[in-house]
Amino acid sequence: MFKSKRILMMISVISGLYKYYGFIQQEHSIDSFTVSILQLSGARGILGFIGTPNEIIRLLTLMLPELCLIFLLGRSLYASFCTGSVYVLSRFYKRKAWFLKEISKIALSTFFYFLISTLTICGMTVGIKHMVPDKTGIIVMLLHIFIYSLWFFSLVMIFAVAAIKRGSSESMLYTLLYYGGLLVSFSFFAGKPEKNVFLEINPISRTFLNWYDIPGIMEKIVNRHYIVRMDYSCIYMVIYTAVVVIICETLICRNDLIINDKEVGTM
Amino acid sequence: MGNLVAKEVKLLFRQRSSMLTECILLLLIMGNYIKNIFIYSGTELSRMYYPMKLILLSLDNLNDRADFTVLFIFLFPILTVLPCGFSYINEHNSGVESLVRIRTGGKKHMYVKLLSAFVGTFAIFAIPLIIDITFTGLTFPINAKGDLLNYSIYSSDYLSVINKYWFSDLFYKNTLLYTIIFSLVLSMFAGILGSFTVALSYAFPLKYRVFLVLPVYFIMNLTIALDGDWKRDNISLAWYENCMLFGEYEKNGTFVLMFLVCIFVLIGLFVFIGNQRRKKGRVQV
Repeated sequence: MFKSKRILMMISVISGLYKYYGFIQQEHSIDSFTVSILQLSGARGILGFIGTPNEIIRLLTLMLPELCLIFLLGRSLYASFCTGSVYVLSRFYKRKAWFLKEISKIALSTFFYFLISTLTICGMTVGIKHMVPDKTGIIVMLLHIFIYSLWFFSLVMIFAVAAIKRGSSESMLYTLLYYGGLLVSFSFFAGKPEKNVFLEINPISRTFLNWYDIPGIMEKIVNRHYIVRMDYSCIYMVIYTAVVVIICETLICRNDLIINDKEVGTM
Repeated sequence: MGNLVAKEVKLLFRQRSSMLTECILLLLIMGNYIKNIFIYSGTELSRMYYPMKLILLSLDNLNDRADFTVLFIFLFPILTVLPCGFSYINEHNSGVESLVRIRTGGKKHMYVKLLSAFVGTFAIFAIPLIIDITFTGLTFPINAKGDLLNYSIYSSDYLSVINKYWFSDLFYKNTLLYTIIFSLVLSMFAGILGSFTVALSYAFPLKYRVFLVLPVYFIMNLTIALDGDWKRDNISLAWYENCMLFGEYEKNGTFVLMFLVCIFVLIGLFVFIGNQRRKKGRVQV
């Protein structure tokens, strides 16, 4: 968790403002509250995300605050381990308990961030664009907070574990490589029969809420690349996050004291 | 001083992070190259695209399947910092800095670090990019004239796009030379960003290296985020539209110049702050 909740709150609000002014304000085809929330997961106005190179670059820019947040939160878990490995884990043998306590703080921070930033965007949409929140819009907003909290929490975990193994700068590269690799891999399977199977197993396809089979979205978003089942996606993301946590827990609990400083960059 | 820079660069090349960056660049290039072979093998010469437009740095790829080019754009900010950007902070954190400064002198040590970061990053980027040009040029017919935008080379639309390139006259005269020169320019840009990180770490020697990567990552992506409104006027602020090869948007010379001036001013400012902080004893060497 961040040392100060106020800083996290400030980052969340700034992120919300950035997304509103950068990606919602200038889209003239947004006609409802639901569509404005769908902009946060890659839609461009009423057009759904189809994975073209320009759309992917736009999405990466949209996710800039979250990507920075991964490194800040991941570093805090890594820093906890650096201190904890010497002062706590050498005396307190229940590593799993320590690990669960630390990751629960990170999970709460991630959830708090998405809650505040999404509420900021909703507030701006209602206040400035005068759009009334409808039932579908509220469902989409809750889904956005839930799915993105899980997805970015898993990325924070991957960053933290890689940092413990390889230092913070290298782990940043690995995390970006993983995230970018999953995104650009869409085009590998374009027009191939394996495409649907790949989209089913790729966790990032669950983060495009404009692909969901919710009735309110189905009618409003055109040019949809793929249809994702909402209930299945929620379960999938929970299982995916649990698997990432278990793998990270196994790796961290196997790691002994950090004797050589990974931040020094030895050969 | 030249000798010191050469030794420093040699040392940087042996570091794990430099090797990792080189490997990732080569993997991206190899992936793009193999993809091109699969797509264009057996294509008739009259239908074939000009090979230099198929390399990793070509923005014309964005009109087609540009998986590796997008990944390169995504990773570029961190790849510029990773190989040589930590050359100062590594020595500072490990305590080697005091030994080197005694022998070479404080200021000289700093200038060597800045120069070696520039040269090292430049070389780490330039070598794979030249390999890419060589392999693509040898594999695909260099006399093919097609364009990924699918314009006829005699059409006015095509000419208007070409006129938007930096030094389009050179492109008309010798496209291969143009590609080589601008690949080296991009490598120099990477080198400047590497030096920027060294200067930043000199002013603020932070414990966690991820904080040194974040400023470059943030600045570079901010140019893409600010791009939206400008693109409507066919001018782009995004770093990749201005620094990579080809593309269909007007290059923004004023913006690039301002950006570079800002970076150089910041490097100077960071070195000044670093010196002042050392004089006042706020940074222990």
